[in-house]
Amino acid sequence: MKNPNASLITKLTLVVLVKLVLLAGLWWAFFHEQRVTVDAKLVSDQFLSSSRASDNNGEPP
Amino acid sequence: MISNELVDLSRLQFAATALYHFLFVPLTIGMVWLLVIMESVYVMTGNVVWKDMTRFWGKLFGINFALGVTTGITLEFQFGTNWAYYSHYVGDIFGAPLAIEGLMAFFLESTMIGLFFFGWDRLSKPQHLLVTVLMAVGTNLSALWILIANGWMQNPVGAEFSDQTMRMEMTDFWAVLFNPDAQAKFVHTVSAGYTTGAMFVMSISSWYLLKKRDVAFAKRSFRVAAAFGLASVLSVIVLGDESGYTVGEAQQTKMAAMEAMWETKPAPAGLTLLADINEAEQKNNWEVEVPWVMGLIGTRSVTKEIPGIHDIKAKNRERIASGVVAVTALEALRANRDDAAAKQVFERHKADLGFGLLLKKYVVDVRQATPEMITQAVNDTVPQVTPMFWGFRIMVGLGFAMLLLFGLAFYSTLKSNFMDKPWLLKAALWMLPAPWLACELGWFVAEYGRQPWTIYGVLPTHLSVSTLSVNSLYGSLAGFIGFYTVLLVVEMFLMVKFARMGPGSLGTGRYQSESGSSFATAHA
Repeated sequence: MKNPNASLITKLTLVVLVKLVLLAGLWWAFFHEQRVTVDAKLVSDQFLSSSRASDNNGEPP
Repeated sequence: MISNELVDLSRLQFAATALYHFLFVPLTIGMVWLLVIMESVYVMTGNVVWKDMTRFWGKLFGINFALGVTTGITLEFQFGTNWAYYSHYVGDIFGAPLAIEGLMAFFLESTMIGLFFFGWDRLSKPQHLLVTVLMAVGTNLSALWILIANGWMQNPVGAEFSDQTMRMEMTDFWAVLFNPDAQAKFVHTVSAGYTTGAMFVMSISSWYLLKKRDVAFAKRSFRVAAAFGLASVLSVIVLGDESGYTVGEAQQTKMAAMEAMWETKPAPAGLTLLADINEAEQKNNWEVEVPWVMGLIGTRSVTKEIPGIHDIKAKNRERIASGVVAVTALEALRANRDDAAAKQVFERHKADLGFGLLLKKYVVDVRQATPEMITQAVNDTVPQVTPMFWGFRIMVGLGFAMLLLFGLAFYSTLKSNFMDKPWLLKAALWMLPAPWLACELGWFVAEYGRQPWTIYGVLPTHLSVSTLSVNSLYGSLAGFIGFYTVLLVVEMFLMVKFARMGPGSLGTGRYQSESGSSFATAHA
């Protein structure tokens, strides 16, 4: 006798596979070439003052 | 200079959304294990009332999950929209557990929730139970990864600042994963969720019992919730103690503020039960103290001291001075990568870099900070004591009140006489808000107590915010509060509606709330 759960498992497997393919497709189409560059200067400008270090390399006078 | 209004509004927006989110989360975390228990009994006994219990409480769980998830998604987006510099500075470490949470836990949880609701007639009993267990595992794994991320904010281990990329970079994933702060927070938080779930089921069951409706259903639910709740609240208290110990180790300012400990006391320090806190003069006008207890909780020893606020501030003043040196050396390094002398100075002082950056709240060039600015920055390093002290005590008080309630409820279930104790049922009903209040206060103490840092000792809050306009923040804040309030009203409406309908809402024809039913009375 055919196991009724087998049909469900097949359907669920198919649905999950379709979902994965669709997600991979979306990622490939829209995101895979996108790269977030790390802009150290941006943070540097925000966190540090614009003036440069003194001649004593930062040691307190 | 970054406007304080911008920082305050960004903090308020995140705090508001996080506190709303955590109205939903603990119930999801806790109820899911109650569903596992109920369904396990159904699978083992075949008694259909346990299936009905799983389905009915599962329905309330589903309402909460559907509305709760939406409130959490915005939090993750806010790291990018409102906390862009934070995301840049620590995104490499902080982003990893959040991504794993989405990929591993949330996907598992969401998939299994679909099968839980729609698989009753298509899966065998053991298969469906497996789905429920996996749903519970997914929910708790989700909490694990979020709390690993949060634990790193409290105790940033396994990472190092890079002067080349100007951000923190992960050096040891396992240190981040097994961060003692994160592990202690995880077990404490999920136990609080279990307590919330148990209180929810016990309170509503008590209401049915007081109304003498669906008695067989309500009695079983009450018993399960009382036993699970007692175990959970005991875990919350024991694991909360562990969480307190990790705070004492890694976040001395938070511990000192929670305890209103202005001066370092001889070891082992006493636990201040009550105090009249005088923030202006930085002292307690009077206090009620239990000897030794704080020392034992905070240090696990009778010889180690817990530093008081004044000593912590003195130490932080030194760290701010050292931090100014670190900032200055870093600037030199940024100007000339090959400056070996600056590199050497920076390496010596970089542990205090964040302390130097605290001055950026008051001055653009930290080397120009006046003694008054330095004093202000030193004062900033300790959060306001009064809200910390009382927030913590109310949370603990609620925890012990729930311990008493669950203890009495469990004892009464053993004696099978809880039906004869309307005062107990009424107490269980009126205590319904207690776990939520305790959870919210717990998060308040954890997060407000971390100030003035987003990453404790590393990144000041005022440097973490995005450069948004204040007006846009007022707008989005109003939008969030409005939207979330609607969600909360919808949740309350649906919860009350289905709780009132009771198991009759399943449409099985077996319950009193349905016409022509005689099951409940027959099986009472």
